[in-house]
This record gives sequence, structure tokens and C-alpha cells, in this order.
Amino acid sequence: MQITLYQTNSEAARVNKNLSAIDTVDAVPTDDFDILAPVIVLDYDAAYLAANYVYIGLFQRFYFITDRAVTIGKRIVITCAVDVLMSWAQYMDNNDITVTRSQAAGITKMPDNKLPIIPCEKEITSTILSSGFFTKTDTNSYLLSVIGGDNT
Amino acid sequence: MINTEIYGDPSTWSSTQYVPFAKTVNYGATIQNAELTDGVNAGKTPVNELLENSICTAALGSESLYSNIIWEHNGELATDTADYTPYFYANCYDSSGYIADRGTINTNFPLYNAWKPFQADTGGRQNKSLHSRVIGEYQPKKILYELVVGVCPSDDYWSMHMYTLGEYLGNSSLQTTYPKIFYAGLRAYFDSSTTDTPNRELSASVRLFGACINRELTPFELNYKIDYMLCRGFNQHYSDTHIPLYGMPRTDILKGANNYNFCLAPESDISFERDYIHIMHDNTPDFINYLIQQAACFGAFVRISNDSGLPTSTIPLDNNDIICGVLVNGVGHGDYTRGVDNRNNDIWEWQTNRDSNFDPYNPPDPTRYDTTTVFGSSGLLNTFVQYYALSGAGLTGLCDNIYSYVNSVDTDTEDINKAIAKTFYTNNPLDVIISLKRFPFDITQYSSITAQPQPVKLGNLSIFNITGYKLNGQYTVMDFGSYDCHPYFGNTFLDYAPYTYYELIIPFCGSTRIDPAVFMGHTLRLKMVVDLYTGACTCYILADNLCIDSVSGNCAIDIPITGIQSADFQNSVQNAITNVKNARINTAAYNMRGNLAMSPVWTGQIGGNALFKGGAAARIGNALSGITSSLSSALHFGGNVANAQKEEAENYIANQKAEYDLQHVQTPFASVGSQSAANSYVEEMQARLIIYRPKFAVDYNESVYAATEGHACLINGKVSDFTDKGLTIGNVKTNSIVNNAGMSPTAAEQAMLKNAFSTGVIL
Repeated sequence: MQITLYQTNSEAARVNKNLSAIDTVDAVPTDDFDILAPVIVLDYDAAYLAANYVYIGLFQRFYFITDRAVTIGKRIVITCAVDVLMSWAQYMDNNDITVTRSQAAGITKMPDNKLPIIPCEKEITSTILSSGFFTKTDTNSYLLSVIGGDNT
Repeated sequence: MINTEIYGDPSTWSSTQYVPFAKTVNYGATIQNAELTDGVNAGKTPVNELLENSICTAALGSESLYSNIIWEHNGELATDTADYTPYFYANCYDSSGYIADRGTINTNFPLYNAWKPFQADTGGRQNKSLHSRVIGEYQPKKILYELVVGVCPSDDYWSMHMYTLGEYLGNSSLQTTYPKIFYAGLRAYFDSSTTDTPNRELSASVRLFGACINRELTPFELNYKIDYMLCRGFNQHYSDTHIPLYGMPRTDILKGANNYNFCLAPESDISFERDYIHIMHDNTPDFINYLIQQAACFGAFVRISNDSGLPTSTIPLDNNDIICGVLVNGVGHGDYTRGVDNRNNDIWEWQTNRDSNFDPYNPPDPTRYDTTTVFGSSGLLNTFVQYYALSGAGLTGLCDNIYSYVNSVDTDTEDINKAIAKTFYTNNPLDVIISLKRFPFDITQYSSITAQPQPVKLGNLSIFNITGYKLNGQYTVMDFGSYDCHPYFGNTFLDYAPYTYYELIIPFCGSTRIDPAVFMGHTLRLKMVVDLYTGACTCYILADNLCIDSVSGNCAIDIPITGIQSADFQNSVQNAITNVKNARINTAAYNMRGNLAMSPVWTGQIGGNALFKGGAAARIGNALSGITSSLSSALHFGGNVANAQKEEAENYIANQKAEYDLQHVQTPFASVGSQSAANSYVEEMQARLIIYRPKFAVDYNESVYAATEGHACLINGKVSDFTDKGLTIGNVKTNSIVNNAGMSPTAAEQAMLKNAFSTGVIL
């Protein structure tokens, strides 16, 4: 079973990871081979110790290398975990998704409780809306109501 | 939006040399039998389909008959390819078949089938090759409609004539001779020029035709069998045809002799005259307004008058003879602009009728919401009470004038109480004053008042040296400021409650918190309504022109008025004078009796009497008990005092007391109103809007936050929509995933995928 060892510095959440190939080698599976979390035994090569990512063509899957160990007999045992994003996300283009947070969305009308708003502070602005009505003038400002007279 | 499935791509639409501004829909070169199928383009005509805003007269809305094409046959909707009649058209024109058809029709029905695509029938009314088209696009300013009316005498329905509304209304003799209106429609002038200055001509080869209502009319039968009605524009005297207005059809009745059974007619108010149904209307202002509103519903430029005298072919569209319908969400409701205001109508800027935002397939809420709060006016209803606006200085001497009047009454010749009551309608002059209030503004600037100040009239007494403006209305409504509410944070959630909130501080009314969501993108307006009678004020808070909230208070200070209860005063004086007179009469009567029979006793008592005077004088003016005490001591001093002497002393004391009372009549005071609090007068006299906005943490970095947390949103789409969009968090469907080798993820992997998307991926 051939595997390709890679080194990647991409974050785990990235679907399309930047990969630098180290080597393609024959690998020997351990007794029970878990497709999602395989443990593989390799002949020792110091360069393999730099690998943190692996592709197993037989399973059409990419894996994170989660652990490695050098054992007696000049062997390297690598423990892997499937990277479902790299393995499958490229085939999900037409799948429906409801995005609830997005880097590209910017601040939207959806309330964001994570946004670092300081609850104890407010920015206060003040605007005068009116002028010239309540002038407190003395001119014709008294209203005398009386009984009598005509309504002319 | 164009329904290309029905009408084909606009590039396939036909156009003619007569109306180069308009594109016509090419869904059928010829209306003939068996061409009608399912409304697909290329030779077919749509069945019962809504016309798009690019096609129909959008302003009438999706419910308009003009916005639909319906095929019917004997009252039934078309269901197959049989020979059906296209029933409703909008802005259609006929480029060639009109004249020919007119010449071939049955002479018994000279106007029948003159304009409409109509099935061939056995009576020779074949439609020939009538080239019907729906105008797909046109520039609104390239069409000027003219409102025309069909009129006739009251007693001669056959003497019908056609005039433009302007001609008819501008000639009173026409209105007298032809008082009945039985038809109204729009004819069109098309402008082939490229500028806004119209050069319109009504081409003889361009025919407007339309449809008119019949659904709402109730069928009935007279001498003819009536199945349904066909309507058309009136065209007896004009070569052009019209789009009839709603409710204004001219209906042909086909007699049943040859099985031409058409018609559906209204139940009443009609006249059968020959082959026509006329719905007669009186020429009233209300009905004319109805016609104009109906024309305005088309959302087009319409000439309604001839005041300018300019020919329709050259009249500018901003002339006062021309209106333009106002559309709300693309639908007309009868409102319109007129004259120069047409330039402010959105339609003025439209390049094509497709600029209407009306979409028949997604029509707006058919309910027309009233978004304008109307503040009414109020007249002065209380004719018994007068209200005078005075300056502070003008009040000086008001009370003095009342005193002066009271003092001017000659009590020797006139009963003062009667005089006061006659002048003031009451025995207390102060009772005619109801209140005196001070307002924080010049009352005359904001209310209906008399042109000139008038003497204040108290009851029936005019005080000529004190004048004020009399009020003619109780309420005053004033604009109290406005504010255009714009988003501060890019119209995001931060611009709305609870993160941002608005608070209004309004003089005399306090403060109130308002929801930014109601006002965002609108103008916040304040209107202050003041009841001048009571001082109550209410500040109405409007979003644009719709009242949303209100707060109330009182902006007047009550000023108390104090004066004399003059009637009580006069009564007290009169009583005291009467008492003095009585006392003196008693004394004189006693002295007369004493001189006649009791002189020795009188003489012997001088010493004691003198002492009595001394004892009484020390206490006079006090209570009667004190006087009695002095009297007892005097009698005791005099030894054996006779009853006559006692009576003399009592008369003397009564006399002294009456005179004292007269000299010390207390002035009774009364007051009108009481001083009210004036704290609000030290407030700011202007309304103020305070906006509270959230503050970010000092170290907030938007780009870092977006890359690590992502911004909250709610976007539905496909996974591929978010490629290269950075961090994406959401819920994804994991079905139907197959790689190139035909493998699919296991259930565990699908769960892992869901988990990965829910915590964030970078696609």
C-alpha cells in the first residue's frame, strides 16, 4: 500500500491545504486497519519525521498525522486521523449550507453576541431638533379667557 | 422582468416605423383560430397570464384587467385551442387591420368588431389579418394621453359626441347641451422625437385599444339573449381608439338573430339605444374627479384640461393642463402630480415603462396603507367665552379698570348690585374672568387670530385701553423639528435596539425612548399640538408622515387673579349704614321722650353716664360682651338706675357700634385660579434627540475578529458559494457526496463533516 507523506502548515480547518510532498513509500498496516484512523508502520527515514500529513490512495483519503513513534528495528509508526475536509469537501460544492458566521459577511443585521461591545459604556450624541417655537417671549404670550362679548 | 418564456427575448420583438419608441411583443403575427394554445411565444398568445411590468400598464396593478390577457368563449375561460376571443388587452395597437375590417363589417353594426382581434364567425365579421400587438416597452414621456369623454343630451342618447375633457369643461354651452357622459377613455399621442420637447402625432396607423370592466356587472336579459359583454373604446367620430376607463365601457349588443349572443350589462342606469348599452353619468364635479383619478391610475401623462390653449402635439409635459399619476409600489391609486410638479414625479425620470418597480408575479401588498397622519384644524366653538392674547404689559390695569367701573357707579341714583350684574352678568365682576395663562410662545404666531387687536371685553364692558388679539381656534399645530435617521454602523444590528436606541427630550412633555428600527431610513418628525384653552400640549412623533407615538404635558402657567368681591363689599357697606341710621333714630326717639317726662332722672345721672362713657370707651370696638360689662359697671356706679336710663345707655352703645362697623367694613377678596408650577420654563425650550450607541472594546480589530470568529449572518446557499470567502461556519447537508472513485463518506465522516462546518472551515 503506497502512501504519500506531506508536510503542511495549513490550519486544520482549511479545505484545500498547502502540501509539500516528502516521499511516496510503501506502508505496512498494523493488524486492524481503521480507515478513519489508521496506524501505519514505515521503514525509518529521518525525513519522514517531518511529515504531518499523509494521503492514502487506496482509500482516497487525506489524513492528519496525529502521532509518530520510532520503534526498534528502525521502524516509524505513524498514527493518522482522516481529514474529512480535504477528502470530501471538494465534492460538496452543490450541497446546501446555512452559514451562520462568515468572515466575508462583515457585520450584518444578525445580532452577534460575540462582538466585543462594552456594555457599560455608550457613545452619546445629541441633536437639537427644533428651534424658534418655545421662545418664552413676553409678546402676546398671555391668554386671557373671559366670559362675554361677541364672537367677531 | 420579462417573461421570455411567453413573449420571447426582447430582441425578437417587433417594432414599427410608426412607433419607433415602442417595442411590441411578438407572440403571434396573426390571431387566427387554432393558434391559441398555451401562451408560449412564437406564434402563440398567452392565456390568462399576467403581463409583466414591461408589458402591461403597470400602474394598474396585477388585479387590473389591463394587466391580464384572458381568453374566453361564451363566458368560459379558454381551455384548449378553440377559437376564443382575447378579452383583455393593455396598450395594444393595430398596425394594419383596422381600416380593412371596418369596411367589411356588417352595416347593421357599423362599429362592431372594429378594433379587436376577433374570431371569424359566420356573420362575415372576420378579423382578417389583424395584427395585434402588445406594446412591450415604451418611454413614458413619449406618450401623452388625452382624456376624452362621450357626451349626449339628456333625452337623446343617440346624439352622442366626443370631446376632450378640456374641450368639454371649457365650454359651458357644451355642458348644457350635452349634460350626460356615457363614456370616458384615453387616447394617445405618440412622440417620435428624441427630446423631452414633444412632437407628438397621433398616427392613423396606431390604434390604442384596451378592455374595460365587465366582471362586476350583473348579467341580465332583455329582448336579447345575453351571454357576456364585449367592450371597446368609443370611436364613432374619431379615427383613433381609446382605452376605456374603469366603469366606462361602451358596449355593443349583438342581437340574437344570428346567434351572435354577446353581452352582459349592468342592472340599472343604462339605456338601450340601438345596439349599444350606455351607462349614463351626470356631469358633476365628483364624477369629473373620478374620471381624472381613473386616468391617473395608469401612471402616465394625461392631459385633462385646455386652459393653456396649446395644442396637444406640442404642449410641454410640465404644463398645468397635464397630470401624471403617482404610483405607490408601482401601483396607481388615483393620486397625481400636475404641472411643474410632474417633474418631481418618479415617472418623469423613467427611461422605459420597465423602470416601474411593480412586478405582477410578486405584487405588492394590495392593501394600500395610509401612511399619512392628518392633523385637522379646530374652530372656536364657544361663543360665550372669548380668548385674548395679550402681552404682559397689556395686562397692567386690568383690575384697576374693574375697580374704576365699580366706583363709577353712582349709588345715589343706581343700585350698584344691579349695575354690576347688568354689566358682568353676575354680581361679581371677577367671575367673568375664567383664567389667565402664560404660554412660552407668541400665541399670535401659531394660531388663528383677529387681524387687529381688540379691546378686552369683560362681560358687556369693553376696556378700551387694554387690547388683545382674539383667538379663532383652540388648537395650534406646529412643526417641532425633524431628523433624518441614518445608520451609523452600516445598517447592521448595531444600529438597532438594544445596542442603539434613541431618546427624545421634549419640552413640557418629558422624555420618551423610541425604537430606531421604526425610523431608520426615514425622517423623524415632531409636531407639537397645543390646546390654547387649557395649555395641554401633545408632541406627536412621526416617521415621515405617519404618527408613531406621542407624549403629552402642559406648557401654560396658570396665573392667579385676585380682586374684590364687590357685591359683598357693597352689601356690607349698606348694612352698616342702615345700622347707623337705626341706632341714631333710636337715640333721637329716646331723647325726645326723656325731655318730655324724665328730665330729673336724666340730670341726676350725668356723673354716672360720664363714667359709663369712660368704661365703654376703653373697650369699644371689641366684642359686645365687653360693652355689656362696662354698662353693668356704670349702672352699679349710678346706684338706683331706672329702666329709662338703661335704655338710653343701650341706644348710645348701639349707635357707637354701628358707626364703628361702618368705619371698619372689611374688604372681601376673591381670586381666580391658582399659581401653577413653572419648573418646565427653566428647561431647554427645544426638542432634543439623544442617540445612545454601543462602543467597541479598545482592542477590537475587525479583520482579526472576522478571521477568527466570523461575523454573525444568515446566508443560505451552496457550499461553492463560499469558496474563497474565508472562515465559514454553518450547517451543511452531507448527502450526495461522491468522489471521483465513486466512494462516499461514512456516517462517521459525515458527522465529522457536519462538526467541521459547525466549528468553522475555510473553503
